[in-house]
Amino acid sequence: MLGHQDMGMLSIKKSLVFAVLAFMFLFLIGNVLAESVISTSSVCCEKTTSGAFCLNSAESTCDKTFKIVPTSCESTSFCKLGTCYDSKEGLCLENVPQRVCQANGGTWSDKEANQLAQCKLGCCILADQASFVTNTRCKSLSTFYGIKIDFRTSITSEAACVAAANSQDEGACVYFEAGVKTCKFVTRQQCGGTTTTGSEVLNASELEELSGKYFYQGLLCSSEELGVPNCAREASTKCYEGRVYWYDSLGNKENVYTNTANISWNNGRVATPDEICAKTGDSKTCGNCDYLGGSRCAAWDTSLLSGLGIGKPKNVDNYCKTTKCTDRDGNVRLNGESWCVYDGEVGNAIDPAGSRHYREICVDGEVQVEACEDFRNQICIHSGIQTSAGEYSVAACRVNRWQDCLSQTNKGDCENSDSRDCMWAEDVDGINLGNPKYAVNTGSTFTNPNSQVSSSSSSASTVTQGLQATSQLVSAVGGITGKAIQTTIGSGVGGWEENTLSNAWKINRSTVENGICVPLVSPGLDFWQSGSSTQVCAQASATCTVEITKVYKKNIITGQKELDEIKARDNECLTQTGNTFNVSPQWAAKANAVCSAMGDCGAGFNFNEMFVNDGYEWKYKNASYYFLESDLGFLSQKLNPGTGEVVLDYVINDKYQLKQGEEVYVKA
Amino acid sequence: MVYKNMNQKRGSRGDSSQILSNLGKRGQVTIFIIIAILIVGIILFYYFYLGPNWSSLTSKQPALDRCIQKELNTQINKLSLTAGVVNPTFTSMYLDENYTFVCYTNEYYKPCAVQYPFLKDSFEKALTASMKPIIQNCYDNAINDLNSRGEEVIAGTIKTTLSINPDGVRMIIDAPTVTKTDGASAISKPIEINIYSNIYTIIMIANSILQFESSYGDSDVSSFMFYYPDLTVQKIRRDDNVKLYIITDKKDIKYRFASRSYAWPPGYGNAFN
Repeated sequence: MLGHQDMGMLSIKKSLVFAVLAFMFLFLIGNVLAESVISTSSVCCEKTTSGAFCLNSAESTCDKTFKIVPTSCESTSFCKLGTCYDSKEGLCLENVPQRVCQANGGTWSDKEANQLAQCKLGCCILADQASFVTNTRCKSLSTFYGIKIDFRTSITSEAACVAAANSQDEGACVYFEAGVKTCKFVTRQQCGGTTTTGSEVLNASELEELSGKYFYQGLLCSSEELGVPNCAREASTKCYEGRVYWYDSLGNKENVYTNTANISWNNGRVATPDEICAKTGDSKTCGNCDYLGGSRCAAWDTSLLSGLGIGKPKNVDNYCKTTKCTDRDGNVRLNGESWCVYDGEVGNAIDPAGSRHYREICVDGEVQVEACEDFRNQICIHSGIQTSAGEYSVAACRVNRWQDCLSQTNKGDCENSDSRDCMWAEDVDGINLGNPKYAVNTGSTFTNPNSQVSSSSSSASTVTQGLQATSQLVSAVGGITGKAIQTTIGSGVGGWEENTLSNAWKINRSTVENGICVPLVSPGLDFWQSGSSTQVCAQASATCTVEITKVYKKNIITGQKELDEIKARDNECLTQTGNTFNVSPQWAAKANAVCSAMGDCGAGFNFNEMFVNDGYEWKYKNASYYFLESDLGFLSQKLNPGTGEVVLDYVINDKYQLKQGEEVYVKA
Repeated sequence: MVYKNMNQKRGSRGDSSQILSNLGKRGQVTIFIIIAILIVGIILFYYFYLGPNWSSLTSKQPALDRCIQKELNTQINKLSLTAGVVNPTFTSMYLDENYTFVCYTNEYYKPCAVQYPFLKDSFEKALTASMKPIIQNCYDNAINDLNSRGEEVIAGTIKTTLSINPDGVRMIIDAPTVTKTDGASAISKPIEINIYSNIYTIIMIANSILQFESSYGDSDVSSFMFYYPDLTVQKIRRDDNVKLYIITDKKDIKYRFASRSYAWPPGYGNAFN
């Protein structure tokens, strides 16, 4: 018989056994969970076998000689991203892993750059130039150029900094060097600490006595009042800030070049470029080159092929040269001008599958092509600056903000261009966007008819290992240079969004609150791979429910009740001929248009002008029907009734019910 | 009269011969001047283009300058192709060329993690390392050259300091070479080599692009070209969200690197590619 103490001991033992079992259970569960986390997500590799630092990746890709932690790199101390400061150069860089920063001799902090004192930016005045940098960087630059440090923390923007540099006083700095009076055309700051400002002109003896430097604001070194020996005016020309300037025989900058006598010299006084001559494009007589007119300073070509520079004025080695390009449409573009190029029609939810936006820039007579992000994750937008030579186009690739279009339920929110890039389209019967109950996910993928022309994205492994196949490289070339083989709507200047509203078979913009919100520029999808594309497209699946009434009449001869006619309530998706109902081609086209707006979905022409119909399917009684190329054409703007004819042949309680999977619906 | 006439005749004869003689003398002088100009020209051409380095010879230092200058430019061009990284392993291949990743993330919607934070410093170190065997080779050749000319020269250990500055690349080579002449010995001074190069500006532009990439995931290259019209900055966007950058000075330097930051998946996508 067990005593009370034994009972107590037994109870303790039971408790201990329970605790141990519980601990083991928790341990096992914990291990299982931990392993599942490791296997499903990734580990933090301090360094991968391919040489990359701090990647969340599969353990097999980690370099075993470096740290491997079964968690996100952000949770580790060594791979946490922060700001790295280079005390030698005075540069700050964000999103640098701690280990990488310290290994390179930098100082790491987990704070953002704008919270660190040493990363605070200010305006560094460097003579007549300025740089918006850190204090240390300013010291480094000033020391290199031999200029007194002028770091202004009160200036908090780059534009204000540039303006501060432009407002620097310039003038002649006169002093004696090795007993000879000499001069430098510099800023007041550059002239030196012993500068005395005065409008009176000192003679040589006074200067000699004082042995100082004198700054004469607004005077050129070649000014006769200064009497600087061996300083001949307008001895040569050079390029400065894109313009042509005269330089004296001592190498000091003077005013902007013009071939008209004495105008440039301006009696030895400083003059603004516009005071000398009006802004010009291609000119050999005025050096005030108009940058927005595509003009900038260039050197005279005196080679044999260029006629040995015949016509070149004496002492003049530069002129204003206009560089122009010709775009794909044959328009002349000025240097620096940029514009958008598209693979086809854009905006209004009609971007063809596989298409992409591009920006082109005119650089020194050559057109550079810059592709926007693939899958239309970026769109190209442009605007114009009015100049004397016409409109100067400026384009940019920016993020396509289509992601939350489907969740917008009113026109105001949908078309709020501050928040998103969507359009409020006319409602289509049977489509309930954003309602998952209509989503049909068959798990299937669709064909990529352009796979030979434009192959799929390269996988990360091929990139990191640098082992891409030749075929991929070839396809990449096509993508990079920009096909733009079709109409380049919007390649001119103007709002491209408004250029593409005329096609009747495209989605009509809705002016009433009854509508649906779809992406303005439909996003691209990797529909040839199994993934989310099927679900995205399936949101535009339509199920048409119709209510049909049988009208009977009494046969006056037999007295029997006979079917007189079948009437359907007004419904967009059906057309009626006698007692036969067909799917309305207009409805089918609109449903397809909404489907296409979701992304690379629906039937239609892709960017390569190839007709694709497996993105749109009609079903009736388990039979599938597709549009034919002749039925649907973006280019022909014509839609004929498709092959998906529906004859309603059964009655349920005097109502004809079309159900999903059995009746007419559109599968995207 | 006759005499006079004779004299006159003689005189006339004598005048013409004197003129001819004077003309011949003038011609000779002209020829001499031309020859002198040619000789001076040849001498100048020899010393400026073909001849040995004057300063090196007079100071009896090894004529390293030209040997190193040439190689320095070659190495700058070579290293620029890999963003200053020697034998990079983490690269993106495009048209059979490798682009070093200076910033990378394999995830979507996230900024890249900087792989090389100090591009100028990396370049300086890589350039110094790559120049080391070249300098040694140039130095050895120069010592052998001096020895073959009968100079008694004792080679020293080379120390190199290199810096990339706004006006180019500055290299100070301290090779304390002892030369013995007539019983007296002298130690050579450090050699300073300066070459003009755009590499500083190019690296600073690359650094600026890197800052934009790591903070915002993209950068506008056209603005750099407007500020620096002598440079061309090209961005190639690959379909795997990788961006390749090429900065050229329209001459020899082609600075290349790659970045992947704030990548966007097709459609709604997944967290990882």
